[in-house]
Amino acid sequence: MARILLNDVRKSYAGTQVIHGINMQIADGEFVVIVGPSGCGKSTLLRMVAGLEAITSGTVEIGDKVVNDLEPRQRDIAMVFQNYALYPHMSVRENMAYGLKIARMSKAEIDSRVAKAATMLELEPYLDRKPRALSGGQRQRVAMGRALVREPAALLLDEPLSNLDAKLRVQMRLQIKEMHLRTGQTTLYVTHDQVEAMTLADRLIVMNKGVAEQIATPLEVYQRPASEFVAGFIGSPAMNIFTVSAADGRVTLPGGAVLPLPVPRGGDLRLGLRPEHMRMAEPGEAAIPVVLRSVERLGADAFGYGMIEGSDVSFVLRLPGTSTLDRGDRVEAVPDPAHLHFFDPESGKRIEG
Amino acid sequence: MRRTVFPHKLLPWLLLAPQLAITLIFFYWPAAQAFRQSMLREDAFGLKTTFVGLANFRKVLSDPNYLNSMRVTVVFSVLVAFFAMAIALFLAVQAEKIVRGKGFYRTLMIWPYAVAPAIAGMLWLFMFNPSFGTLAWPLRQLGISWNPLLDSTQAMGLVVAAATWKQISYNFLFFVAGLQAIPRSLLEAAAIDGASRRHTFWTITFPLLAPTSFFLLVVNTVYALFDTFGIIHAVTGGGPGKATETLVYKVYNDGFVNLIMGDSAAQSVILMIIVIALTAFQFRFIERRVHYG
Repeated sequence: MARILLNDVRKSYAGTQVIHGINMQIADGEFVVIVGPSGCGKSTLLRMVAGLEAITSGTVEIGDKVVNDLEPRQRDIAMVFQNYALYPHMSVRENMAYGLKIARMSKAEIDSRVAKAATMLELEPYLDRKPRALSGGQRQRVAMGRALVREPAALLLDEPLSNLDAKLRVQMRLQIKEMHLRTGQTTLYVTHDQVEAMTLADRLIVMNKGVAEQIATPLEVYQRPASEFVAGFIGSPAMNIFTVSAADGRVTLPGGAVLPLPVPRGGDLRLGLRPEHMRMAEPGEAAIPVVLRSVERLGADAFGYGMIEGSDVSFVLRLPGTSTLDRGDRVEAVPDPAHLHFFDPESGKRIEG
Repeated sequence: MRRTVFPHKLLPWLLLAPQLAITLIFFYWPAAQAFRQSMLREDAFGLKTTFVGLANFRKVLSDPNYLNSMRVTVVFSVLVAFFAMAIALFLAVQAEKIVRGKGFYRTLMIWPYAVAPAIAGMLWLFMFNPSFGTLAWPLRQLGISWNPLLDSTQAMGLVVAAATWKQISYNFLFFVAGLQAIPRSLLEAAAIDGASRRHTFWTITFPLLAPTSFFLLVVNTVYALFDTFGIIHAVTGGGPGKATETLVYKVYNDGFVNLIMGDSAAQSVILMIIVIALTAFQFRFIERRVHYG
């Protein structure tokens, strides 16, 4: 068990900087998820913590020890790879015992640890099989087992569920969460899937183009996204974000409609509204006029996709599951004043209202 | 596997014909000829031949020279196959570590394969000839009494070195390809599991190279048995005495130099049986231990 400290960590490849100074403290036992679109540097960051990529500048500390110049094996970490990286010529048992044998652990200790992990992951019937005789979900569990038996200071997971089908992914997600509660292992988890990120994390790092856009709890990221990127990335369907011009407690929408809103300042602003934070207008109330182009019915809810009337700005809003609205209908939506997000059009940063 | 069904009976045979023709003309026919010849005895002038049954085989197998040649072949083949593979594997592993100029380095490594065996033999002869060899003089300066024309161990060393040198390129190519087929993440997983580079090599890389190594073992054995004739011919001519006379070289010597056709044919039949048996053995007993990914 240990805490992890990232101090202005940077990475460049041949002069091109890909990680632009990440600062973070991960507490002992905390579950932190690094989330972002592909190519944002999240895997690179994890691999730098693991020791598989050199750190260009800044320091990484694991358990109060700077590990920049240590080999992966000296860092007291375990890692689960996206493709599992199981040793194909070894049985499940040998795969899990590999690291323990290297650590010169006694035979009895190895056996008891492997047995314990196998019980927890329900792998006992497969201990003598080779990885190729296992299904995707079983391989994934072996990879988890191989990491857990070593009881490392920190557990690193690189998109461990992305090769599984949707149903298995949900199952494994719950299992990982449960396992974390049981072992209390400091965990760093990389994913591009916002559902995994929201459900697993104690805290999130939302990354974009090598920059940590926001480091906060999942709820905080959802309620107060620090930038336009975070606002658009977290939440499904994505937040509606468009440019409005603000003055005197009013905004002029694309298409010309005027809406009274508590604005933080005048001039051009980016306004963000989540589809779920909207209600239908009372007769005569100022609202956002939307012409629907299609309605997706999910049972409990329905989502109306359309354009703000008189503009080419697309707009999504949540409708009751029983709604009879359909393609071509015009609706008037009123945003919930408690859930308004304003961003600076230049920097993309959140403007506090 | 999907079965392809041809609508026509003749078409598959037609498609196979070129391959079959080559195999028939260049393998089965000469093999059959050798087999026939091995049962015949020819007089000194080649005027008449008599059927003698297995007499040639009996004669060859009781010939101490033949048994010596057998011993020489075993020593030679084991040494060539081992060194050619071990050195090639070492070089391939080193080549993997190079960051810049990888392609250039690999190209250089492959060149020896393009050299004809007899030319390769001549190169080594020129380098190590006791009287005019470029490297013979420094060897003598080091206090080594270098004379492969008289010393049978040195002669064997020289042909083994030449034959090995020539085969390294081929093995190198396959090992490089084999190494590239090993997923990087496996090596990274081993590094995280605490394995040193050496330990990773012996517990992960080497076992996963087994299919490549097994294939090369078969190929190198056949190479050492058959394709090294040119090198031996150029470097030592089977001498000194009969110290480097391998089975193939003896087939040539008895058949084409001494013109004892029956003996020579019997020897080539025996050689054929040895190679078939050896390859069958390799597939039967060694391949079992090979893990195909």
